[in-house]
This record gives sequence, C-alpha cells and structure tokens, in this order.
Amino acid sequence: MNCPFHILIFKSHMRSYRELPLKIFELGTVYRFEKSGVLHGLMRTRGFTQDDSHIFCTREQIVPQLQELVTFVLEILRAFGFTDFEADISTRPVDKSVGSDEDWQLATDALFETIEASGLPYQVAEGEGAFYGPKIDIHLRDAIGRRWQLSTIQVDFQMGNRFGIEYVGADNERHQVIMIHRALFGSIERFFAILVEHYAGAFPVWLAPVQVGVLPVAERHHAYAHRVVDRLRSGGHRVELLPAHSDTLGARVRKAKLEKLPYVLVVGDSDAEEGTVGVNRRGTDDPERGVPLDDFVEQLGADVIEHA
Amino acid sequence: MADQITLTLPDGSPREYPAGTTGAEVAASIGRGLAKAALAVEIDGVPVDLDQPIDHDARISVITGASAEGRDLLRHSTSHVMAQAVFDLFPGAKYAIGPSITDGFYYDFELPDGRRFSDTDLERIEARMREIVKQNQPFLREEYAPQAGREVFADQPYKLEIIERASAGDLSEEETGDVGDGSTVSVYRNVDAEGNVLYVDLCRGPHVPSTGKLGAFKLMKVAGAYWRGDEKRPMLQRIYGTAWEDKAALEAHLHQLEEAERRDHRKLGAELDLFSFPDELGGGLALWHPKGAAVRKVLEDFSRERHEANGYELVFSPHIAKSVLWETSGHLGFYAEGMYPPMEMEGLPTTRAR
Repeated sequence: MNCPFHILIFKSHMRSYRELPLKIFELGTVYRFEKSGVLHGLMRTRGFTQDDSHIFCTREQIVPQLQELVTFVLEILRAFGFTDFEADISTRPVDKSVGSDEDWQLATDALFETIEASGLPYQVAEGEGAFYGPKIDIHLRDAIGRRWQLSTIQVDFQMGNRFGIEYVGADNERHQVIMIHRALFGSIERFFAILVEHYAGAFPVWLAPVQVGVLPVAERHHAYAHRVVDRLRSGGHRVELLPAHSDTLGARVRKAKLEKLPYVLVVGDSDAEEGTVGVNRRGTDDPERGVPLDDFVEQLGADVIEHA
Repeated sequence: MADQITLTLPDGSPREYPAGTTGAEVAASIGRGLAKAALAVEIDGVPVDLDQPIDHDARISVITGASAEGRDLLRHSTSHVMAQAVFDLFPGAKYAIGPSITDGFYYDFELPDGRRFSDTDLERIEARMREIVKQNQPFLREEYAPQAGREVFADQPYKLEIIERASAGDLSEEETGDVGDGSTVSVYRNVDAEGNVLYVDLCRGPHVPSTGKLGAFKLMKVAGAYWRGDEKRPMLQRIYGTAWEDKAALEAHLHQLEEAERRDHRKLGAELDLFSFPDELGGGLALWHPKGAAVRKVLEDFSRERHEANGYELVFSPHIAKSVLWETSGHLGFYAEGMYPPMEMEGLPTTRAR
C-alpha cells in the first residue's frame, strides 16, 4: 500500500514522455491488522516490509515493460536457487471493469506472450483479474515441492485517473499514465521464512549469518586464529571465533554444525607455523587439512559471488 | 421414463444403457479394473453413489481414488468410520460435523461428563476404525422428509440444529455437506452382514460403496473447536485425520509433514537465533536478532542493488499519512478492515498507518 506515496513522488513535477518509463522502488513497511488465529511466524505478521515497485509508463511501453519485469523477477528468484516456477494469469472480469477494450487486450496479450516466451507452465484464472487490470502471479516450488505464491505484476488502468497522473507527450499534449504495480518477494518477512524452510536453515554462503567459524585447538593458537579472522573480515566476510577456553574442540565443532555454519576452520600447531587452516565444509564429514589460508580465502570469495 | 438412456463418457463417446442402470454397472461395463477402483460416479458434474439408478441422458465419469474428487470422497467416508468408532468406544457421545478438508478430514464430538480424548484414545479409535474397514460394511443411503429426518436424530442436538437451520437457509459451508439445501434429509447407514444398523449419519453424500474401500488413513491430533466457531456455544473436540488412496500416498504425505516440521521457520528461527516474537510487542510483530538481521541485510542489499542496476529509483516514504490519501487511491474501499484504525489527534487531520 505504498502506491499513493510513489504517485505523489511522480506528481511532484510535470513529467515528459522522455522520463518514462519511470520505475520507483521502495522497501516499504506496512501494517495490517490480521486476526490472531491466522498469524503464522514471519509468514503472516501484522507489520511487514514489501519490496514494492511502481512503474509509470505509456501505453506503448506496457508490452516491453511487462516482458522486462517477468525476466527480472525470474532472474532474482533464481539467485536463491529456485528453479521450479509457475504463473497464474488473471484476465478481465466479466461484469465491471475500467479501461478500454484495446488496453485490456493489449495488456492481457502482453502477459500471455511474456509468459509463453519465458517457457513457464501457466494457468489462466478466467475473469479473476482486478476490475482495474489483468495480472500475473508467479509461484515457485521449494525444496520439498510446496508451492508458494511470490511475485505479483498488476497492470492498473485506473489509478492514473483517480490521482490525475499525466505526462506530456511528444505531441505536447497531456496523456494519462499507465501504472504497473509489482511486488517481487511479496514481503521480506515472508520471503525470509520461505528461504529458511527451503534451506532448512542451511543458508548458502552468501546469505549465511555467520559464514565461517574459526576454532583454535588450544589457547596457544589464539593469536594465529585472530589473524585468520581479521584476514577474512577484511574481505567483508562474516566470521566468528569460538575460543578454546569456551569448550572442548569437539563440543565447539558440534555447536558450529548445529548452527549450520557453511565453513568451520580448525587451526592448530602446524597451521600456525605454515599459514594453513583445516577446512570443514558443511555437509561433508572429512576435513581438508593443511589448506593454505590464501587458497581458502580465494575459494570463499568464489563461493560467495557464485549466486550472482 | 425412457427405456434407454445415453451416457457420454469423458472422452465424448456415447453409450446406451437401460434406464435405471447404476454407476457401478456402467463402470463394470467399461472394464473390470475400473469397476474395482470405482468409488462413485459424476453425473453431469455432480458426484453420486455407485448404487443410484440413472434415469436420464447425462455425461458420466467414474471417480477413482487417485483424483481430487476421489480423495475428497475417501476422506469424507473415513470421517464417518471414525465417528462410528467413537460411538462404539464412547457411548453417549454427541457428534456435529465431519467434513473432508485439504489432505484429510475431521469430526467434532462432545463426550459425556466433559471428557476429553487422549492420545491413547486416538490409538484405540484408529484400531476400531481398522476393524470397521475389515468388516466391509456397506454405506446405504435413504432420503427422509425433514420431520421424519428429525426423528432419526432425536437424541443428537447438533444434527437437529443443522436440520433446523437448513430449512431456514442458515448453514455454514461445512454444514451444507450434511444437508444440502435441506428440502429432504438424507441419511447414510452402515450395516453388518445381517443388516443390523451399526452407524447412522446425516449426510448429503455421496460415499464410497463400503468401508472396505478405505484403509490408508491415520488419525493426527485433537483440538478444541467451538460449535459454529462461536465462543458462547460449547467447545467440541475435533479429531483430525488424513486419508489417501493407498499406503504409498499416505506415507508420502506423512513424510512431507515430517519434513515441513523439521524445516518450520519458527523452530529454526529460535534454534538459530534469527528472530523472535516476544509477548511484550503484541502478536504478529517480529524482532530481528543480529543473526537474522545479518541475513536480512544481505537480502535487502541484493534487492536494492539489482533494482538500481535495472533502472529503478529508490525512494523512502512515511509509515503514516492522512486517511484521505487512501480514500483517493480507493484502498479504504477495499482494505479498510485490514488497516489499523484511524488515529485522531487534536487539531490534526485523521491519520492512518499504511
């Protein structure tokens, strides 16, 4: 429900066709009074943050904008490892609708064309569109095959009129702006919950709250362990040191595993001498000993940017 | 009534049958496998018992277990079997409604003396249900006029109430499963080999032909549920169960539930110290702890960076504004109930949170 705010920003000065499409984006926190019985962790809250976008465009730009949007949405969702997508296209309701026949045809055809070009399986919800425009919902399947609705791309023929949003065309005449509303994650909170469940808490390295745990075997390895931590932090990584005095090595390794740390580095005498680390990669049982720290730093860097 | 009727199969092919042919006979005429797998038929899109005679031309399709309609049917019939088991083990129980739901079914009961079902009770009920399935009791349908129907359920207050409200047109969605529009009262009986009535229920139907068709089910849990969702009415006990077309499907579902529980973000959120919902904030409002916040920051930074790379312009706007803003946008018309109530402050226009 950030549309009115974005519209006011658009209206802050008279816009020329040269400025369109104008795409406004905000991580906007909104509040909804949900009944207690339907609240569900982060999936259904009373305060949540939408990744809310509004695209202000001309009639001619509707088609390329919708195509760009679908491509963009899929690109972002794929970065999280999702591969299984489906679309629902909601078409013009039978009774009441706003907007000309041509506009509805144009927008609906564009949605179909775009989805068909994307190769996504899709279903049509005949007549289920809002009275002010057709829309696409994009669903994905998580690691255990559950279907989640994620993104919504909603064409809006009415809002321009309600708020009197216009632009000056190449003909020097005023024309009504078309709006496209778009939520990609839906809400950060809900998407985060879906990610937690999809990964079962084992976030990929680039997302993990702590990416590397450094475990000195004994007190005398602390100085070296601190140097390893500093080296990794200077690369912008999220690192935690689990000191020798806090618990036995075995207990610390178990704790790091429970916290699903992507990497656990154990450093002992030979490591301090030779500038190496013992690498425990999440999901493997056998550590790789004596890995030169430089090699590990390079590997870690590669792992983190892999998602893009 | 015509002597011959034409029934059109799903593939469009028409077949001639004598008037009064049942769905079971149609299935048998198509194939033995289909006859065995048949649970009910759809006549012109309406599900009907296999033993009902068909007396007009219609489109017909056979409902088997491995379909949405089939599973729905299995679940509803299983809920009847569960109620029968409850009556066998808990004399004096009262029953309310027992519809099928997503992936399963439930039935609401009231036990004498305010007794509640325990986990052991559920085990006993499930065991008794398996005996009922083994006995392969047929489901027999009978129609009554409303007054006669009331006599059948004379000692079951919740069923009586449903019958009353049906004639007044005041039913919830689940209750219409019991009586349809209430013009007649349809009743299903389960009988033994000698024809003794073992169980009676108010139900629009249809049902599977006999309890032997059921079996891939499991009782899941008990919860409290107010009759009609009304806190001023009695709290009934709702037993939830799940039912599927075969053991493999049931196992897959149970495995799915286990996996989902293992991954529940609320559980992991606490274990991994990502976020919490302290009472002090009120319901539905989350605190993001440093570890959760670290992930959220990466998420948001990634989102912002990708949007800017794609030609979007980042803006910030307030969380509150004059109510009038949402009247113009039309949101108040649609979403008023969902929005937090307006705030009135002396000398200022009415304000709302977005």
